[in-house]
Amino acid sequence: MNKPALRWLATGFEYATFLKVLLLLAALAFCVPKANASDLNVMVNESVMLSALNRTELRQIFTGHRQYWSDGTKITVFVLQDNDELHKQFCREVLQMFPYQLSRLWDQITYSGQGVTPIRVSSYEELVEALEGTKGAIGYVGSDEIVKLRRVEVSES
Amino acid sequence: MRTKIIIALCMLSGAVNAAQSDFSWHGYVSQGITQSQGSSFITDNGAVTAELTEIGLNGYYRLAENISIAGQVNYLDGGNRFEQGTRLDYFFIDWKIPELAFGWKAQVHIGRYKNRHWLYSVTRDVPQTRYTSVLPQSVYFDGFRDVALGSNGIQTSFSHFSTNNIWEVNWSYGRSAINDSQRDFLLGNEARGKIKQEFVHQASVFWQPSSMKWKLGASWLNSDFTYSPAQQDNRLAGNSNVERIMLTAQYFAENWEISSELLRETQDNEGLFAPNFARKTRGEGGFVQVRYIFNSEFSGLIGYDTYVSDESDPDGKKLEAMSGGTIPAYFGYQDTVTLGARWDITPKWRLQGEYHWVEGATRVVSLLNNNVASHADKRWEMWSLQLMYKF
Repeated sequence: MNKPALRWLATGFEYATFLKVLLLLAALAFCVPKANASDLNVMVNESVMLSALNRTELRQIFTGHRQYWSDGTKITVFVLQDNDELHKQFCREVLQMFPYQLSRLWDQITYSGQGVTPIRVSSYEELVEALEGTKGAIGYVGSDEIVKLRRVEVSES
Repeated sequence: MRTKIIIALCMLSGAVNAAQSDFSWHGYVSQGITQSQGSSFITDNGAVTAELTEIGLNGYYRLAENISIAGQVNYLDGGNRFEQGTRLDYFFIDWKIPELAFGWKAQVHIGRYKNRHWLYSVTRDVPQTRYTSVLPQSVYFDGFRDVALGSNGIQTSFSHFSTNNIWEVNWSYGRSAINDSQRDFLLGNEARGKIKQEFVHQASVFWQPSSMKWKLGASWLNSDFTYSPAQQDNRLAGNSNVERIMLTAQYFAENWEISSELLRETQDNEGLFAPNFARKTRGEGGFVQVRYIFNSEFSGLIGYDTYVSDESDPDGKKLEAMSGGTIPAYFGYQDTVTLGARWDITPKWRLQGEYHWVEGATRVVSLLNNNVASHADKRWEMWSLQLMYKF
């Protein structure tokens, strides 16, 4: 207790203050993951009449194995660039893949004539605009406050 | 010619990305410098050259909901590795069948299709999809690349996605034209006649967990060739059957990935060199490559590749004895250690370099050529540095 720093701790911090700080830290700890989880949402254009997709369906769509919605509308997939944090988060949390895996798959599809791959946009604003303006579009956003898009719940199976 | 193609593609690329309709265009341009030292595998007399060019342009047009047409033309220059020039890489009708029984879906390609039975075969000419510009020669033997790349015929692919597994089953049947360069690899540069591929029959199966972190597979190939000699020819009429069995494994982690393919290839020749000639040989080999991803821009690679052309003669001593000493024993095998590095400058631009240390030369030149020994030392090296752009 003779060292200056410890003495400052003992005298400067009352018990109640210490408790408040602890509570604040705990609240932050609980809030941060929730904020991250709600920051990423799979969204579709308003023309797409569905509210949920399971992970298997999403993987089929984002790897080019499913190209039409059940009503026959063409699916157009929009994504951000590989090094974008939101894209990385989407790959890891939703598809449970690594961005470079997807990127390689898309290159294989594009350069061997197997189909049409997602359209990469270079900014978040461009992504939202493309999702809002393209019939049958699917992608992701970092917020669920955009009213012109339909949010899709992601289920395991 | 090469410069004109590069300029034309660069001009096109600006308009290409806007394609969001039923018609889309893509392409790639790549130019490098390269050298082989102590071997004529890529360049002669150890020359450093720009004979490393790959340019491609493709189109995909959706004719109806599940029917499309796809094609790609490319220009390739790989030094001595294969014939320089423009090729029709693929051109086929793509028919997708989204719903079959028990949740399976299918894709049918009719026309000039790409071989999708091996890890890199489907986009072998696209530099952005490869670890190295010279692929492991055990599996991706450049001397016979055009036949292995694709064929004219039909290919079907069946896939099944479930909560835990992804299955893919491929089958194809077709044939390819054999150019003189490939004939020389098969029968030596004294052959003057024509080789015809009667058919190539391939099948493969791949399994992946739903996360696609693993890819395990097996493939089978069977192909028949016939040779019709020219009027003045020191080769006789004959035929050859090639059968290949391969095992494939690939694993993706966040910061590294590993790929491996193992093969066993049997070649059964009849005629060709003497009226009653018959010989069956079995080659074996494979490769393993590990890529470490330092960050989203930089990655490094280490690889090992090995092949013996006759598994009963792994050190080539019988080959040397049979040839009366004119073919050195090291032409019976080929072992390669590779180091590589990649810099993704932007999402569309990449700089990639590699260095290979090689012992043996069984994939350098046809063992039926004259003066085989002059084509490679026992130990030789090659390297390349390649700048590539895609759109």
